[in-house]
Amino acid sequence: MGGTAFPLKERARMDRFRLQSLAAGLLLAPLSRAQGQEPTVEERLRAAEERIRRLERELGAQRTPETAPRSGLDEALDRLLAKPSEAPGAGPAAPQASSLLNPRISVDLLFDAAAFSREDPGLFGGHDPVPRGFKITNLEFVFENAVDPYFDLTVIPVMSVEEGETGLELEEAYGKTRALPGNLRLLAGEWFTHFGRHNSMHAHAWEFSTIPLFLPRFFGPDGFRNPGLELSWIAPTSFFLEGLASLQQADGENGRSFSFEPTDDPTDPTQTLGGHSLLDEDVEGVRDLATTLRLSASTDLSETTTLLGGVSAMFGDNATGPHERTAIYGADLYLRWKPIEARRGFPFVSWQTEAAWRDLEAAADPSTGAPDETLDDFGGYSQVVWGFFDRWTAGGRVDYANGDGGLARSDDPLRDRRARGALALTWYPTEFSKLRFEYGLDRAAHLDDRLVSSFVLQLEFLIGTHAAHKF
Amino acid sequence: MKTLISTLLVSFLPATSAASPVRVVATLPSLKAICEEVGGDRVTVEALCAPRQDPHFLDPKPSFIATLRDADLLLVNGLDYEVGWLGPITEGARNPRIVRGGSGFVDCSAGISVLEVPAAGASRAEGDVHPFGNPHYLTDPLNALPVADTIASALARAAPAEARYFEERRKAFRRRLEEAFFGPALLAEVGGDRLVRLAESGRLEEALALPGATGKPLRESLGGWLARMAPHAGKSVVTYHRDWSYFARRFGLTVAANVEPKPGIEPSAKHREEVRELLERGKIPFLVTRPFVERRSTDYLKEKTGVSVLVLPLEVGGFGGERDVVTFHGKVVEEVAGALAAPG
Repeated sequence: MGGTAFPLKERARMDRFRLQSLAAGLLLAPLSRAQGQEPTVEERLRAAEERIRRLERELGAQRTPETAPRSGLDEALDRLLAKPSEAPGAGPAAPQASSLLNPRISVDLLFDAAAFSREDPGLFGGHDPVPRGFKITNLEFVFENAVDPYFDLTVIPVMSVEEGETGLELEEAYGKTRALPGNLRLLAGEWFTHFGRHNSMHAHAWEFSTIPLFLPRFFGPDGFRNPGLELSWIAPTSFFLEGLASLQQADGENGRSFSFEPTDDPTDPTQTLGGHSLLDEDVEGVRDLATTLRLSASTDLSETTTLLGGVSAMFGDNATGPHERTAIYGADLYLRWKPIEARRGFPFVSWQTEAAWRDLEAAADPSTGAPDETLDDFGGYSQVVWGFFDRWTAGGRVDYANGDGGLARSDDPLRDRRARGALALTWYPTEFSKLRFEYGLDRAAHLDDRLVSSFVLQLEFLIGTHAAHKF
Repeated sequence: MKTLISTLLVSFLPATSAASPVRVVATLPSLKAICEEVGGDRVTVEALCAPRQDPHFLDPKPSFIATLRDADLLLVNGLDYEVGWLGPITEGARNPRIVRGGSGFVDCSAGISVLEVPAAGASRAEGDVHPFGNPHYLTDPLNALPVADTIASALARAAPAEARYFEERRKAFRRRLEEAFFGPALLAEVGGDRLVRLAESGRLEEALALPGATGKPLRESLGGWLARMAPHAGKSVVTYHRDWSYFARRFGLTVAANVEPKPGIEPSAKHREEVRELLERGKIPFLVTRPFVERRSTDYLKEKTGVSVLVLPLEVGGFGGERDVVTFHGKVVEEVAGALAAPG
């Protein structure tokens, strides 16, 4: 075995024994040798120290693998290890430098083909599948990445094509903090306000092709999104509890209940609020901004079932007068069941319900005869989606809205009594595409309380970075 | 009433106290198990994914946000395995330590030799490809070693005073795993570090032909899982998904086909027939599937060809009851070796 009769460990043990014996000898030696008066004590000590150092060097050398006598096996193994690797594998995955610094990009196309039993079905959502025929409902681009160790940036422009005209709109653009202490996060820019559950969802994530009735009624075609600031906080509780407060501009087409700017068409019923004309006013103070407060909490009822609920409120001055206030309150509930061994996310059942109330102080309007009054509106929906088979879902939704007070309410498409239902069947070939067929039945006072049927075929295609799903 | 008040008070107290051990959250049960090996009683570890759950399709539940809020470390598999759900919960947790780039964000794929990295120009036309390579590296028992190294370093950074403790436990885990993999005799003769390097470089077979201390080939000292699987090296298997590539490479098996025509794509009738023909022609005794995929295709192949279908969990705890890495891989090896040894 290459000149080593004993394993290294054993040899090291023997050398330690030799060293200890020598040390013992050195201690005893002065007593016996001093009587002969030959070498001095100092000389003997120096000689002994030299011997100890030499032995320590030898022992150390035996402990050092580089200088240890090498066996034939050791050498053969080392020769093998020195050869180039034959194992497949690319080594640690190294992302390209560009992919680290460039934004993550995804593009999502939502395409609708729709038919209605009435020429104008009275839909006011910005992504609703109107008019009859084909429509590029939403072409969404998402760009996102970390700005630096302190901020992330998300930019979401969307394009749509309506009657041959291509429109480009900045849907969301916001920076948010990455490292604020105290479980806080600050968000700045324009974003879909965290009011309820549906408002902050993008059109391609909806379970049905139309936006719930109350959102265009209370806010605007896309719900509520405007520039502003949001501060949110996670409570230090054993369950999920989040609180947030935001302040946003309240003008533009989404600020219908607030500083909405009317067009010049006085015959358009959507340009008034319950028959109250609207003033075009600038922001004079915080009252003219939209203030949102939200508290949401969640708990896992079991390993497979999760409940998430929230309450929201939004306040601000409205445009019927100089100091008239609007308050909108909302409550939402989401329950989801999915078994542990779900196959690619199926089966599952989700139930989502949301309701909102609006109290809008409306100033008297002598031009229309509308009195000083409070307009009360309500809207809500409830939907169930069942992932009944791998990659297939079936869903049903009921949606209701109604108003109280104001003029000619039954002719007002944004305040009349309206109820509708929809059934949707969706097939997801993969996570990145879907095909949906939806049938809807709608009854609205401003459409003479006649039933309107709708048939929608919707397709979605997503390319680019794998987007994370939200709960 | 008192109970209600105290329950409410308790729920509003901080989830953990300041003097507690290192608080670790792992996305996968196997990462949790490795962390427990290294961290011992100086860590608390929670896994987000259940052992028989598909980690690619986890719901980003709000409770995960509460779990991550106070974590010191977040262990992720990486290679985009958790891409479908991790972002919203790490952002939502408002914990700067565990966001990507934070001091406690630990990508456990850091020391892994990654397989099946797609060539430039790959697209999702080839299925649900993972742009950074095959993420299922934990199916190879030896890959637990670099993962343990990564975790030990992260724990030492999080709790420098315990660095020696973590290092000793890492070494002990390494030795236990090496012994289970190579067998005690070979380990004593050649040394774990050298054996692992030989296995990594694909030179282990050549090394086993060398004469050992007794003059006999080292192969005669071989034990553990490697000895259990050695008679089956070179055999072909069929797997449902590309999740056993690392395991197959480690034990010299060939994955002849996948039941999925492309990753994440369910088989068409035509592809199923192709797999059936391959199973019959190649006399392949069994196919491996995972707990959370459809059974129609594998049931069909079983009925038509008589192939035995092995449902293997991918994560520690997936068999039910086993809690540590060595026991889990031991069970996998026993299942696979047993199926390969069965008359075809």
